[in-house]
Amino acid sequence: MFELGVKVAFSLAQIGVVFGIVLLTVMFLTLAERKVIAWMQDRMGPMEVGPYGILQPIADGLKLFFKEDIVPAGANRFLFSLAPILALVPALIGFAVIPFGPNLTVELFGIQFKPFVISDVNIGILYILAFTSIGAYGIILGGWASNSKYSLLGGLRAAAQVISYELNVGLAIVGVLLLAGSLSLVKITEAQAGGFWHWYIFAFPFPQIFAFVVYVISAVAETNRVPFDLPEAESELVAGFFTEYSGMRFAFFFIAEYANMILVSCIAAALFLGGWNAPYPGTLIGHLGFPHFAWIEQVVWFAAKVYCFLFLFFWLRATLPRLRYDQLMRFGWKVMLPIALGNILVTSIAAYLFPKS
Amino acid sequence: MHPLLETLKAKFLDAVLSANEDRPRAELSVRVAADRILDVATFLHDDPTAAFDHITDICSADYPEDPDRFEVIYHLLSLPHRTRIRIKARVPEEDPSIASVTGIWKGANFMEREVYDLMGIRFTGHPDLRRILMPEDYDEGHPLRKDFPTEGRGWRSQFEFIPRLDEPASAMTEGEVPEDEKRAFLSVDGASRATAYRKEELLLNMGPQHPATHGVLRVVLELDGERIVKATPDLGYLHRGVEKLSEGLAYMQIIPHTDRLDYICSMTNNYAYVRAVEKLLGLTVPERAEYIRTIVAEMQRIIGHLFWLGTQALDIGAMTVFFWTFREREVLLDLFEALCGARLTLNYYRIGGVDSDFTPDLVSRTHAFLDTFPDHIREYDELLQANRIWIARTTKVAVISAADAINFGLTGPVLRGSGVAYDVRKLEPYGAYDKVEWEVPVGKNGDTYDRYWVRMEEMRQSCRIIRQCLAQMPEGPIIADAPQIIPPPKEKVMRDMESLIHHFIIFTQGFKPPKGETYCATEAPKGELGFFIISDGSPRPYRLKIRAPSFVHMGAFDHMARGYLISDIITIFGTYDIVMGECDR
Repeated sequence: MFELGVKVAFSLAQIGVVFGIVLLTVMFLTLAERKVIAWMQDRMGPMEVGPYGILQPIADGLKLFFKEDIVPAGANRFLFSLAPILALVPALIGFAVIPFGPNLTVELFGIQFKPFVISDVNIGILYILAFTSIGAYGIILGGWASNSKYSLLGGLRAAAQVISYELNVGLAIVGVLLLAGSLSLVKITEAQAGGFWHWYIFAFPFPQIFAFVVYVISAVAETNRVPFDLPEAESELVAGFFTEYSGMRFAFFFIAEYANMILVSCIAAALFLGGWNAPYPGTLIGHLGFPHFAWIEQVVWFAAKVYCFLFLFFWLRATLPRLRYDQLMRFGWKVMLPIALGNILVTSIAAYLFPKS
Repeated sequence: MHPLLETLKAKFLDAVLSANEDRPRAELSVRVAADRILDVATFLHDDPTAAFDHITDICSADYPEDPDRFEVIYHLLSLPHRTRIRIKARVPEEDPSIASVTGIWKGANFMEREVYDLMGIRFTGHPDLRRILMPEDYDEGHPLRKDFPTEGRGWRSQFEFIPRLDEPASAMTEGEVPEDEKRAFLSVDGASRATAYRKEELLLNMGPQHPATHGVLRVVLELDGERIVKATPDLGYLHRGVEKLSEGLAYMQIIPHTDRLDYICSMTNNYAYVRAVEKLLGLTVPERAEYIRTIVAEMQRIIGHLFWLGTQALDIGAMTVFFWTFREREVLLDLFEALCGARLTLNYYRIGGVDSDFTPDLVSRTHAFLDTFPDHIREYDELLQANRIWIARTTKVAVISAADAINFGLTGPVLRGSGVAYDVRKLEPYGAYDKVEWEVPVGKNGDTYDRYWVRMEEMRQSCRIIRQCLAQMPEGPIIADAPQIIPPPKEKVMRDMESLIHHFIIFTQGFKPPKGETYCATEAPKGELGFFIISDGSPRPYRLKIRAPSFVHMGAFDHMARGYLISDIITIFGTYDIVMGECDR
């Protein structure tokens, strides 16, 4: 009984910490995005709230929180309220299997814990793919339940887009899974230890660089970010599927989008860029003689990779125009899909010829 | 007499009532019998010696004392022969109707609707004769008639078609829009559609509140999935009745109103207007003023095109270009501020010259801008022209052939993108445009990309023009010496009694131009901006008609949008470079 209590308490604490970090990152991601894009566009971005606008996300959050909650006439109330939750929950729940740091085991009251991953399930990546698919329902239902033509068009676009690009995400990952021989994110990351030439993006016997590119593009599309932000294309569909949303419901969609960005960045870091592994063998702190504190460096490496990836999202947004619906579909099915399939074929042959020792 | 008038007179003995060539202003005008308008128009369009392929404008005038009260005035342009002609036809008050020329020039559609709306002249055979600028259910009459008071009839709050703000709003239910309200926006009538096969059309109302409609433009789209079956522009949300207002104002007082037409490019509107008045007066402008006008107009063209580039890129999703273009626009606006104290509504041109002189400091600042600007254009190109998404979004989108573009009366970069090298600055040079070297860029395919390229190239050409003008600009006065028309300089007014009286008389009574009428076209960044003035010898124009390029361009919207996707609608808004202030007037 005591054992169970400790387990639950520890898990809850872990969930709380991860949840807090993710939401904090989301908050400051909105600020970072505005700042980074502002600098690229020769302006200053938010400057009023706090020094250099640092407290802007808090002001935004408060504003959204106190906004009137409007349900449009003729909307399906139940689904209209359900949709933001359906979008947000899968985006957050995926973080349960992300390894933020090394696969250490800590013993507390005679029970073993892994501090850097909430739950090391052996089908981690499958779990994430399954849940992010549910997120698409949030968008589609939100678009449909609003009783607005713009929302409906946005929802329809989102449905088509998320489905076709999720396929590419799945197929791009398969190459890595073939090389790693596991679906657990912890195991996959562990297999990439020992320097950047072991990362799957560069690794022998077949570098997954093509898969990585396909994954990055599809991930951008799946999170509905520029240049694939058609479901919410501002200049065409006003705000797409969340045109009719306001206040906290709108904030939920917003948080879901940014949480999804972080999630796909985490997956990219874990699968292709070696996760918590430094680009050189071992860790600097470990080499200096403090192996007990090596995890600090490793967590920093993981965070650095994720943030680089997030910066890429901003960079794309500042650079690229939006694709058109038909171009997006053509690109997904006629360009990305064959590349992903070809990558699987070549990787399987390579993996067969050079089996892991 | 002009050979064309001879031919017309010989060919239509009974139809041509009078033909007149205004030599000093180089204008031809013909009065024809209203019931023969179609014959004359067909001849003018089809006959190779006439070849009036481009319809510039249709407008109307009201002469209440005359038995044939209303006059419909057609402005035509022959691109092959480079001639303009004005056809006039009178219709009586009891039955104000005339045959529609939409069958000959497709661009006449919107123009005739405007005449119907504002003057109440019915065009028989018009496919869709509805009000266009005034609300659909406006039943107070036709505002441009002389018996319609300028201040309107009744109070705004009492009009039935305006929603009452002091009463609680009726609850919006999910009720459908009635069938007969939908009809105007559907390509096929509802009844015939139902019998053919079951197909549910989706009517999407875009605007007037929409992030990308460039102001208050409303377009009703009939959609099949995401594909556009029919696009119906609904104009008039910004209609302020500038033409009606002008009839009550002295010539000088109208200049600030022109600022507010195309508020992105006020300078060009000022220019177009003062040129029309000068043409009416037969006034010559000092050379230095001509150079300054040309320089400022080209700076304004750069601003207009920068604004267009930014918004078009933003519509397609490239946000950064928008901010970058505004950075350069800011520099030019600062120059304007130094020049005349204003940034947006400039009110800088004066009849007979300009308001203030180009100082040496301003010249050096303009040079500094010209030195860096080509690099900035290269920056935009790096973001757009080198971008495959941009290319894919613009090529083969909203294609319009040269023949169609001319037939719709399009002008400016939209026409030049289709490969027609028509530029008022070359066809009828004004200002200093014939004294400097520059080229008219033309596209090939008439798609959005070509129009993009044409405008980018025009910015480079504008730089060339400004540079040469600055080098050639002579010293001298900046306003004509015509005391009958032009008030004395302000510093004299304060000290000199004679000047004070002179100033007082001009500002209280205005000046009286000769009786007559004239049409004067100017190349604005958006296209041909024309002012048509009828003067009855009084200090106020009897009729002032503004030929706004944006309005004419909207006439071709449906033609250009059909078959494309919703995303392309946004591209078409952008590629037209419309400004609703000018479109609705």
